[in-house]
Amino acid sequence: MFKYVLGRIGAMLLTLFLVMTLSFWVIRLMPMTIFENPEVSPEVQRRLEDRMHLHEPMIVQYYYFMKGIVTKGDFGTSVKIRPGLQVFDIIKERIPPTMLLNFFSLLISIPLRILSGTIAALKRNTWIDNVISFLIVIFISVPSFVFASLMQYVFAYAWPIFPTLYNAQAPTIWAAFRSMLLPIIALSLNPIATIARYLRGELIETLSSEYMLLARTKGLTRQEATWRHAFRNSLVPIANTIIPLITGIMGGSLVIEKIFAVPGEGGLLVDSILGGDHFLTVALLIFYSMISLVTIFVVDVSYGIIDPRIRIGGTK
Amino acid sequence: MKKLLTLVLALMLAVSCLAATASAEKVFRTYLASDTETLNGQNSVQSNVNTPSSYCQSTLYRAVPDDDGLNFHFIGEIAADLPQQIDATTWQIPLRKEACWANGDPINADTMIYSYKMGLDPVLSNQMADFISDQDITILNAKAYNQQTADAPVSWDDVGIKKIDDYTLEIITDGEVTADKICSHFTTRAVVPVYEPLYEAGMAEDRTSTTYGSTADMWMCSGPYKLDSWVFGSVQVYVRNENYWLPDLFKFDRVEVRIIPEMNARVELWEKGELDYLAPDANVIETYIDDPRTVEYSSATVYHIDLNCQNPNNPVTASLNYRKAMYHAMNREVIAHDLFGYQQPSGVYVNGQAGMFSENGLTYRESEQGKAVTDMVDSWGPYGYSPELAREYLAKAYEECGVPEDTVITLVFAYDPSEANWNATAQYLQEELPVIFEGKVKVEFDTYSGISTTVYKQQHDTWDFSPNDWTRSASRTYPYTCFYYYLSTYGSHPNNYFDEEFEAQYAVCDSEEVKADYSRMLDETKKLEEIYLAKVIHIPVVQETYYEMFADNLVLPVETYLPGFGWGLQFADIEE
Amino acid sequence: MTVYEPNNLPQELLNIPQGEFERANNDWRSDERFTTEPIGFYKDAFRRLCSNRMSMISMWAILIIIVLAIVVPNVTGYGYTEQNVKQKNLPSKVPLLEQIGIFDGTRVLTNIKKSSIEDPKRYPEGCIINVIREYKAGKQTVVDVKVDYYKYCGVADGEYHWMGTDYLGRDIMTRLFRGTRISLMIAALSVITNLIIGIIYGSIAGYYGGRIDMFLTHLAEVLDGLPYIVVTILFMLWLGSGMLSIVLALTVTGWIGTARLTRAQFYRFKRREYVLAARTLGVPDRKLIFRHILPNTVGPLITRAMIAVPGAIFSESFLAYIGLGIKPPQPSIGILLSEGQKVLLQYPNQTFFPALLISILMIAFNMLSNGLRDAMDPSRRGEE
Repeated sequence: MFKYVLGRIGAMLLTLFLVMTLSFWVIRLMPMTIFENPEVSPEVQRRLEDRMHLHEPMIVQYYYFMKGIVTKGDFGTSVKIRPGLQVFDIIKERIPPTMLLNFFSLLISIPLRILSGTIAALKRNTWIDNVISFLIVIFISVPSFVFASLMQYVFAYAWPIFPTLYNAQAPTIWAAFRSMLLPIIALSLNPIATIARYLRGELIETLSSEYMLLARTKGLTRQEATWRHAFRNSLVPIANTIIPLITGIMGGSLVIEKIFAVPGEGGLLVDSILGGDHFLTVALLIFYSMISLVTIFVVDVSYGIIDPRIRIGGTK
Repeated sequence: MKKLLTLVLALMLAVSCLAATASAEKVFRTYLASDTETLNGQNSVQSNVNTPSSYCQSTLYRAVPDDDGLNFHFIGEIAADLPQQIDATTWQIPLRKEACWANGDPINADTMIYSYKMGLDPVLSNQMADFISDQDITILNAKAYNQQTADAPVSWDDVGIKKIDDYTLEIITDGEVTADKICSHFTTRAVVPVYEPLYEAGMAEDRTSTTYGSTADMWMCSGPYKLDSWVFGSVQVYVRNENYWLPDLFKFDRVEVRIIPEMNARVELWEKGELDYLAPDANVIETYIDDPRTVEYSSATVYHIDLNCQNPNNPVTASLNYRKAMYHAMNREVIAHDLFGYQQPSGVYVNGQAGMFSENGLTYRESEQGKAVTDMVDSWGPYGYSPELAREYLAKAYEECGVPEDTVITLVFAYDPSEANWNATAQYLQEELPVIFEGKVKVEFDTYSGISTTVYKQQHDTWDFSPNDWTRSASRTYPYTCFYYYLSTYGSHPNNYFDEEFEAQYAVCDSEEVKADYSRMLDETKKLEEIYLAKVIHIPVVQETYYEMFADNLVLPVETYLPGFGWGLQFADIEE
Repeated sequence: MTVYEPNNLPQELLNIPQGEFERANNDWRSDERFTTEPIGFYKDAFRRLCSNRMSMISMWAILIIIVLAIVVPNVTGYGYTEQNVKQKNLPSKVPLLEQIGIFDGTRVLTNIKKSSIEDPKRYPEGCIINVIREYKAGKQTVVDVKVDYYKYCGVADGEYHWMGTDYLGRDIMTRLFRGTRISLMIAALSVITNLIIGIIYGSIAGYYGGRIDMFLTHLAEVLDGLPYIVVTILFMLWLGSGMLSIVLALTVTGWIGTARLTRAQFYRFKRREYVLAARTLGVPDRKLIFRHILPNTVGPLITRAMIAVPGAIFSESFLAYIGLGIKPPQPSIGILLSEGQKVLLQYPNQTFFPALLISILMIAFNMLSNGLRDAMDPSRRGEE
């Protein structure tokens, strides 16, 4: 097991290196301008660009980039979004709201999705299943930006029980949470629905397998059999969907953060990509990748513990 | 356990209610569409920095409303009095002894000299340096100092900003100016004082950049308000600065600036009464156009379409007749009214605010000379729109370039689809131009995001139309300066088009001799604009009308919009 | 117990003459002949699918929408690019329904200066149906009015826009169904591409295991480490907007999920006894993969593909929302939704209809995939 974990860490680091390299080359090869003001004279532009090594060959710039990260943890300096600031500091400052948002969404969505998926599977093809499926489908069928705007309109304007925007300076924890609830819900709906559907399918398959029949034959009640055998067994492949769930939530937060004016990483990423702040974009990509890599690592390791057959690199 | 939880929740609710009702202070709640990238006004080209800068920083002079609310005048803020003329180009500015930073440190001549020296520093290369060196006045050698090269150094001693004593500054200008222009020059965000200890603390080792103003801790306030907190991307809060020396001018106790990127959210907050200010955009204006709270004014912007005259795919674009055809093919009334949303069509380029500091109070457009140009344009058709002329000129262009008569040319309209105005305009022209030119012209799109229009034009040469990027709001005194962007001496050349006659005429306008004689300057500006129209340097389309809404309980200090001053929002009061 | 041995049989039994044997039962006996057709797996699945009412309704709904997407843009009488900028942002107006007071092309305008509605240039004769409320605000008289928006914009009588018009006065219904066509095409193309790549990739990784699996899985991991929305945005910036770019951008990371699922299914089935038996009989790898293991993954894959359809339409609308969608003037559901979202408060009809259509489409796809999944469940074979 220890060897397996060690191997996974090694693979993770290798992946991270590849991600860094890839994002550096992809993004930095795209055109970039530092100056919005065309009145800045060419000499001044040249001077500033030299400071960022922009006139050196790409491979040299790559060397500076990697050297900065490895030796000093220096990801570069922002040029557009917050000029002059270290991108690392910019990202660091915006972690709390993003993390809270994503964490709460996960917290809400995991139990809910399991519950709804299980009920739908157990009550297969009854009206309960249909109602759940219908609701689920409504949630996944309207894009989150429409849904978020709609929720903002209904619950913050027409029937104002929540604040319209995220309140970064809420006086109490309760007020902070209240201002966050709408974005959290908006963010959770889609993942809940996607995964609940998957769980339903998985459970249905397990429920109809032979060992369930055996479990019933040996005298277990239906509930006992479902809980002990079917449910646990269908959780195994579900663990797999945690990865897309987390990356999905992170992706969704790009839009939600803009609509509710949450000062998080998602909005920053969109701004920096569209604003052409390449240094910041590269660092944010690395940040996002790191989060998904850590998730993948955790899932892989727990997978390896739950079901050793599925370890990556198992034999034929 | 359950009881405890209920208790805690109830407590939280009570506390939050208390916190909400405790304040009876005058709070002004406004918004910005995006956050200020830095608070350092010397180095930010974004106009949204004006908000924190005007509330939290003092400048040498400040424009304040007259008591009757009909006009405005300048008063010394850091300056103790209006500038004193010593000789033709030398002026002295006395400073207030009580001026100080929010932490109590004094502001004196040394502070100001340091601020301007840093603002113009050739190594720091601040992006707003030209707002210090030449805006309403041109300070002697300031531009030369800022743009000096290693082989032609310029000493700071040669720059026309000098310290006479601790509380007197001397300004030497490059030409004769009036006291009003000096005041007006020293009111922008680029000429605010900077706090030396922090400016130096944020300085990079090689002195090429400073992080001054990048966070709340790295910025020192000196204005009527101070930055209480700043959560980047969410909110800026200003509270009264107890150390400020002219507190009676200002009525708000607290200013909350929320960062709201979505228009829907702004409208919701406005309708709920949680915002005191709203600027409806093209999508929303239809709803508010007849609202009694909506006020409007003509801004200093004329939107225009750049024409590429060197598209290798379309040789016909090099022809002047082609450019004229396109000029006459724009149905400006539809574009301005329906696509830009209740804006003014404009077939001319000098905007409605240009030249408003004239002796008789008329802007260039209202002057005899300006009107003559407008009349000429209207004689071609409404705001220059004339399908017949357009067809005629295109036929001539075909003939001139030796293109067969029935050729169909495909023109590329390059634009950023996230800009609603231009998105609608581009799609409108795609439908309209083939009709006007009877099928001889087709329009296709090249859309881009993530790069500015300037950058797009630098990197591509296969476009034909493109929206303007920067609009030069002409100097309030000299209307001709809006043509400055289209000179060959200017850094970026959006349309690759240069014309000797045009440049010569600009030089005539810009000469000291013409600038000194106001009516002659207007005549020469008229000639310049006529050349501009005859050569179709680009296509003017819309004179921007700006719409704003203020909450009912907001008492504005002026009766109408005052060009160059605005609504004086900072001086407004809130009624109970 | 007495055991009779063949050689030990009593004499009288050995010497029984043949002729004394006779059949105990004279009827001719044979296996019963099947009178019905044999039913294969897919046929069985189809039969079960047909018996699921929800699935059938869904299938019809999808078919109807596809037919509408083909037919409607040609019969509304408006082109999808046809503009009338004087008649922009019209509310919906439907013949017959307008009689009962819904979809009648009226709109309530609030907080209007009374002086404005008295100006016949702004508000033409007869466009004001009634004044709902009149009150004083400061010095001015302000009214809330219900206006016939069609008359207000000068639309001729008898002209109808069932779903209203957009910011250029284009008919939304025409654009919506035209957009459905494009969105469905984008979805179908990207899902098919993703499936093909994912299945091949996942099968190879899952079947061979070992080093190959290690390498392939890590490669997929590197790509998956980048959040898909980010990759999609970068790809769009790189390729420029357009339908093909969107399909490609959705393919970059889209196949990874399929590959992962296929791989997991392979691990599950490749050591089953029947595979072992087949391998022992010398069945080649290719045949083992495609004939014996892959069919097991069809069920989950179909479910996945069906979910991927909304996924693709979503990504497309997300891109449209941040300004990277397909090139105008082509509509897509995403473009319409993002245009509608900008004026959600002012003109909700511009969001409502596209949202309704996308919901129906998605519900249908999901219900159908539910049904398909149940139908293709091998353990339920033969169930009614």
